[in-house]
Amino acid sequence: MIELIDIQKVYRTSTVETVALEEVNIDIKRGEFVSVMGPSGCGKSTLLNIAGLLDLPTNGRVLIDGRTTEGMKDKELAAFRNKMIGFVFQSFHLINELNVIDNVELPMLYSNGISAKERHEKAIYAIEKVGLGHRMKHYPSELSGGQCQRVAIARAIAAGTSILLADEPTGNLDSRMGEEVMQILFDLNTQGTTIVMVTHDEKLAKQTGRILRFFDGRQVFSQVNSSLKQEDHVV
Amino acid sequence: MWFSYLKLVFAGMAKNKFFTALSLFGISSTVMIIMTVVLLFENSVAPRKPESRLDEMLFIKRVKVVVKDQSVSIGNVGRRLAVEYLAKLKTPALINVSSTDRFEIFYQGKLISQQVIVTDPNYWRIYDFDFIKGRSFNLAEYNAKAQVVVISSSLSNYFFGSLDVIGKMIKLRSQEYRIVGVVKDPPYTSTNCFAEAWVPSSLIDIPAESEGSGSWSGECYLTILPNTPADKQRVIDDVNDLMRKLNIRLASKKTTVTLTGPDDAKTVYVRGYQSDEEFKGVTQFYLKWVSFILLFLLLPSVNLMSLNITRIRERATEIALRKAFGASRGVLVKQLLIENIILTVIGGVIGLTMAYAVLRIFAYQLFNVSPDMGDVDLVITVNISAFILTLLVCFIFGIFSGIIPALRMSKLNPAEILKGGNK
Ligand SMILES: Nc1ncnc2c1ncn2[C@@H]1O[C@H](COP(=O)(O)OP(=O)(O)OP(=O)(O)O)[C@@H](O)[C@H]1O
Ligand SMILES: [Mg+2]
Repeated sequence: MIELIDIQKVYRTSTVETVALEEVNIDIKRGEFVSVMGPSGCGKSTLLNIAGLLDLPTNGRVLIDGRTTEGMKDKELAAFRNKMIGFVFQSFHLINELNVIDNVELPMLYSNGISAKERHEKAIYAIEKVGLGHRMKHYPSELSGGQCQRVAIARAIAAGTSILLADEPTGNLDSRMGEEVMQILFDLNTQGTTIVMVTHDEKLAKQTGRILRFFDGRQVFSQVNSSLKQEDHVV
Repeated sequence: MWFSYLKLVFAGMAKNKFFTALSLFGISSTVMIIMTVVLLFENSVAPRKPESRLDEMLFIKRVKVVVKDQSVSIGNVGRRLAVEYLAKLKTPALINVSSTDRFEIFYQGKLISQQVIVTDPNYWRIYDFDFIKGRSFNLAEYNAKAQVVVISSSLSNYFFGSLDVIGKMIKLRSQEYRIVGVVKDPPYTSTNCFAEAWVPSSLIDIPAESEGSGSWSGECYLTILPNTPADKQRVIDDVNDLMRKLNIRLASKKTTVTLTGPDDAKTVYVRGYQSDEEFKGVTQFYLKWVSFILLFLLLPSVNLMSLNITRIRERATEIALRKAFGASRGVLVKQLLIENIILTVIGGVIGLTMAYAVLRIFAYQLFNVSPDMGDVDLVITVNISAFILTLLVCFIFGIFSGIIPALRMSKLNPAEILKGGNK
């Protein structure tokens, strides 16, 4: 589903050059639930942004659903993100001026050929999926952190996107709310959504299908949990 | 998509009350000033009763008489030139000669000084007055130099209240006149028709031709209504022809008589602000105005632009989110511009309303009329073209002030903005 080939990412400012990713090769299959772990600054968020077409790699290629994204114009990338990819962020990033349902509808405002009614229905469906059917008209300030993150998840999946990229989705939540959110992610994964999640929580990561470990911009380890088999990727 | 988007725009405006108020103030005060001038112009040249056919009319109001090495005089058209020459043109048209003056009007101990139009029967055919009672004076009365008068309903009320006035006698400049008709008051904005009474001009003698400027310049102005709009040019040609012949004849007396016009109503109005030497046509005048408006818009545009730029940081997350979830740069720029235009249009409508209010409050000063009768309603309308102009101005305004902030916002890197922990 997501193929990263020989990815390199270098951040250049006038004074420093930071190599955030180096020789990264990852193939994430449809329906997988992958955790990305590693110390702070090792390039996890950078990886997620590149996989989600939010940022371009300095070198290397990104294939989504078998299609190469190289050379795509801003407009095509935007359309691609809209159709295929949903994002969940550590700090939720809901729009405070909009209520739950309007927040969830937001990505679909940019989808082509979807009627207002359809949009509304899809949003309601997604909100019910994350268990907030009774909070449709609430504003973010009236919700708990866990509820906010669930709204964010609903927003990410409402359009029917098949890839969910979550950067520390439980990072701002206490463990009970974190588990609630995780449960929703597991459910979504069971229903077929491909999920890549950055986390610092070893326990959560262990529950996912595979853990990718990063160090200093390189992927150093890939651990498949289901078979409890560990393979070293020496790169 | 637009409904949800608008909802967000208004939510944003409500949240940032200070910003909204500040920008609205800048826009609306600018639009107010521009539209006051525009409405003033439009209402002065608007064809409305009794000037319903204003667009078809031609006017001759000014004449310049030069007697070589002696004198130059500019004034209204002399009665002799108006009646004996211009009004006798064979052109297919109705030609009226009028003059306006203040008369002392007297009835049973009440005396009032009012504007009176001294005119001929064609006047009533060119202008479509509403007669509340009676009729206009006719050709027979005119030729017989009958002392008859048509008065406005406000003058009628002032002297007679609700009494029937037809046939009653009132005094104008100590002469007895018989009232034959009462008309609905023409609006103050009507430069050609505003008066309280109308009397036949046959009562005034036509001066004999004399040396100098005396017989050529005077107190009259002509209104010409060509039979068909296509005859307009013919009228102009005929008048020019007549004047050429007159000037050939006057050459021996070293006298040159030059008319201003025949002009249409808009030209007459524009000329009112310029000397004949300055006047370069109505289009030129409009262009001058348009460039002035654009220049005038620059300041509040820059102001709004800087306000918008200061808000970029505040709005970064929202913009980044939109990008992450699939808004392309182009769509984003379009949205931000539309948002800005919505703001300017709201400001514009407020400004237009304020301009209308200013015109109503200061109408007498702005239209340069002095209504002592008091009970006449002032007719000021905001027509479609003024409204469209407002929208256009706001549109330009919105684009001016929105494009740079919008482009900047669209270039924000969402990855950078959305990552990280607590915001
Ligand atoms: N816009 C940027 N400009 C310059 N350097 C950057 C930029 N973004 C990230 N970096 C650098 O790239 C490296 C990887 O950053 P990244 O945000 O991907 O780390 P991370 O693994 O997500 O860390 P954390 O766990 O703290 O979120 C870091 O050294 C960081 O300083
Ligand atoms: Mg990170």
